[in-house]
Amino acid sequence: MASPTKSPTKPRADLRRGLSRSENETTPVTPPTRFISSNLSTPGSAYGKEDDAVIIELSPRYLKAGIEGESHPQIRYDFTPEKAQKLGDYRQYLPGYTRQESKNGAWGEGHELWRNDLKNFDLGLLSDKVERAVREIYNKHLLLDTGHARLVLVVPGLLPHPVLATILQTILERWSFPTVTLFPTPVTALVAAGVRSGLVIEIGWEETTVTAVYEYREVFARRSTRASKLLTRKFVEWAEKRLPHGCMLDLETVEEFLARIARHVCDDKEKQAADNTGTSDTIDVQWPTSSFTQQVTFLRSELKAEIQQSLLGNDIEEEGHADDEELPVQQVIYNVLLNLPPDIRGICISRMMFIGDGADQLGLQSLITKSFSRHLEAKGWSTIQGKKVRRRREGLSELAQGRVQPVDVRHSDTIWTEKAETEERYLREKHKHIQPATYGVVRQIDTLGSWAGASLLGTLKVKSFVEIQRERFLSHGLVGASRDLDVSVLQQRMSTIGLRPKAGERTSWTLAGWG
Amino acid sequence: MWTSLDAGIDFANPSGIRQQLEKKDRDRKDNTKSTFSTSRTGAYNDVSKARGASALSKEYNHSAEPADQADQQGQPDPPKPLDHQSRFNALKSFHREELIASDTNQTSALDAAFSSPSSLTRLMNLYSSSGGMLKKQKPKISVMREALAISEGLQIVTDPSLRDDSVFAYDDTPSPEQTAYQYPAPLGNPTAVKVSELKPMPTLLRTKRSKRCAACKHILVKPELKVTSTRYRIKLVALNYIPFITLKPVPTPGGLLSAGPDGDPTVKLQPGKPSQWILTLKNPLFENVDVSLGSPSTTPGKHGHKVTILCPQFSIGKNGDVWDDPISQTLPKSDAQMSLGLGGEQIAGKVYDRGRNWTSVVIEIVASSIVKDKDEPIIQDDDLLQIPVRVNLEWKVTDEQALRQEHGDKRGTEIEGDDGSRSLSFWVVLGIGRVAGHTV
Repeated sequence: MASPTKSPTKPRADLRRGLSRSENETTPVTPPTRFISSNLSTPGSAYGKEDDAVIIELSPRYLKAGIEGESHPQIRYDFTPEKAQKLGDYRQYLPGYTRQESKNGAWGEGHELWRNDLKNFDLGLLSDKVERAVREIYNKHLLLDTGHARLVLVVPGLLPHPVLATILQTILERWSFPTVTLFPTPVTALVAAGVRSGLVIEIGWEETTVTAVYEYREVFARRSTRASKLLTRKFVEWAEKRLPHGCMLDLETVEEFLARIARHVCDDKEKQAADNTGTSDTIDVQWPTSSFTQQVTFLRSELKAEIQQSLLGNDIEEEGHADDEELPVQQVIYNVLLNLPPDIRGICISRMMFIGDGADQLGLQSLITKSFSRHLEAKGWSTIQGKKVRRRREGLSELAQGRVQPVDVRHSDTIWTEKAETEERYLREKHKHIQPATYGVVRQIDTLGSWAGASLLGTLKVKSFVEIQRERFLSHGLVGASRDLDVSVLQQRMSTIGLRPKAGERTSWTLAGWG
Repeated sequence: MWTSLDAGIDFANPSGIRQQLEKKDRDRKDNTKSTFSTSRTGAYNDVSKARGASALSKEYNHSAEPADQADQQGQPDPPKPLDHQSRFNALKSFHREELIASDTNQTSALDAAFSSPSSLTRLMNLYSSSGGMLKKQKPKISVMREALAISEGLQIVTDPSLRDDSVFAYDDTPSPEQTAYQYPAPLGNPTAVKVSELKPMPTLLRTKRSKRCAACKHILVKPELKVTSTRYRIKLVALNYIPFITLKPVPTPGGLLSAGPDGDPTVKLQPGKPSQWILTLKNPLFENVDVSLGSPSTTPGKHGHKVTILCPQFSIGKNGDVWDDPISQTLPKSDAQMSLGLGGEQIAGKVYDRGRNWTSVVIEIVASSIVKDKDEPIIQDDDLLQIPVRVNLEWKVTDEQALRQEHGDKRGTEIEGDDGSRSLSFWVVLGIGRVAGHTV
């Protein structure tokens, strides 16, 4: 029964890759740079220098962690009230245990890591939860030593500063990471989709963020509170009247139900409905009650209406009375695109992608895209809206139709057109290999997710703007970041000329998009 | 009993179950999907078609692509969308090639990464282009382009109504616990839509860990390397060095009954009524220990309960052998103990009871009332009564061998500056019970 003794230093990456199937690469590629052997450094000093970084994606509800180079995270750690209990508190396994959630507390309070409203929020609890989460994933799932591999954090673009400061403080103080790199969620989602610019719609827990990214830089972002939190709360309000008494309507049950049905409820399956009537119209569910389960029947159409109403609002005419943060999702998309310059707008509109927990259901995505197309068709791209404007525009279009004669010849500038032609020809020659990309049509592309994008960036050894050194952060805190975005760009240019600053000596660090 | 034959899975040999499952999964996928050619020509044609199509595109739907491709190259089937892992690989290779092609860094000899792909290609071109001097060099593109086709990792979302889906059954969808169990991917399938898409997961292996002290790096816990043994090579557990503390209520007729190990949820303290508890400390060391206890008079927290320790300073006997006691009689017996029967007296300054290696003292607690409004959110464990106690221990290490061991076996008859007295203090939280409260 003696198993062949493996050497204790076998890297864990090999063990994992042995299990998953071998990658079929198209061309033989040299393995990515592992160490730099130059004349100046002593040989052998490069042993163990570069390790695979650990990538952690943070979101208010969960934490996904894994090692770079993998296509999927290793573990997804959800934050629940049970995870926040003392060690040795096993009361959740006792029979007859119900979580004491009162109506007067905030909805889903024990489940979220942070909120946007930090007035009465306990940052110490946040740091304890993060510390416990990181410790558990390192010891139980990743089986690594903290502090040896680099750490990459993928965080949302609109992260409150106290939360960011607390998380960084906890991680850097407790464990000996030399640096922490930050990547924004929208940009890594773009990388995982293979495009350079696009519109990233993240339907998260508390808010839906629509970010326009151009050439890997966030250009414009807007958020709305129509996201999972609102959806589940509204669903509970609706279901309380609809379901028989005694059905459990806590967050986890409702989320489970919505996740399982949303994909099928929101599909526009009119054809299917015609084929098999009755089977797809109602959904029978064994809804858990406090003692056992109860059979409940839902109509597909009313479920779809509920979900649609929470996320997309009622109709176009109502939006004039909504707060900025309550706008329905398709409106937010429209507003973001409206505020962009036209060329970026054309590129982004053809590269829409959805990420986040709430968008995992494909049905929702197509609903939103279709609703947005309808909204766009109705409004066009003008910023001025309203009844009077519409009337005047109609009048103007009538006038334009009335005018039949062609434009005056004097107004055509032949000189300018000639120059434009040669310039066009020159540009075309220069960029012959760059083909015109899809432009101007509403198109949705699929992304592998922001974690996979960060893993890709890690394997390609791409550096981020935001790299936080340990000593610098612990001595100054977040205030030590410089606001000048061009600092790192200057450093890159200097390094290409040959005047690379000494390794380990960074003149300053910046928080880029979060500062 | 269920066997895998019931599901139609037939294993060839008993080892390597995971590899066999993966192979079956791959074969099944290959049969349903068309053969996706990973050859260079296939990918190139795919990309060029994408370029041509995008130049005039109205709505670039990949369902429009198959018709053209099938006509042009005679390929039997269009490229189907890749699954997660292959798409990841496609994106990775695409980006890597783009990085090589667009790498504009003119690296000097000093900081050249000799094994990097870009410098290797440059070197190869230098040496191999002497043969093809007439061939025009590929222009250096300044900007990386984005993925244009499925082979490069791009995937456009099709209209979901075009997908074929069987009739929806709620029981067929996986529950959150099932999807959560599918991590670590790609061993599992966390994006499964149906229960049939879930993959069997190997058991999560546990590890044995050894632990060091954070301050002095001394090894505290070191399990044996043998997998099947549960013993430890080095096991320095704190409870072997600090007194073992237990708490029970003073046995009065008609008073509080002592709760079991899990805590009796029906036993509740009445607010405003003083109750007495016996705190017992058991000494594991082979020396007499002087203990002094301290506690804030009101517990910190939302509800301040009053705490009084009747005898804050006392000593505990050493954990010697049973026959040491009558022989040596080192322990001074207090007068109170002489007159003790079963129940001791609760006098301030006197211990309640004493034994060979343990001592008991009395703590008096007055719970404050917990009155909750109807509108306030219920905080779990708000009615729990816990008191923090600071324990200060002092003892003398008399055993010469132990003393020498601590100093690292120094040579010398007298170890200077050390007369063997040691002290240790720590905080302890004692859980008493729950307070009977009522909502207004």
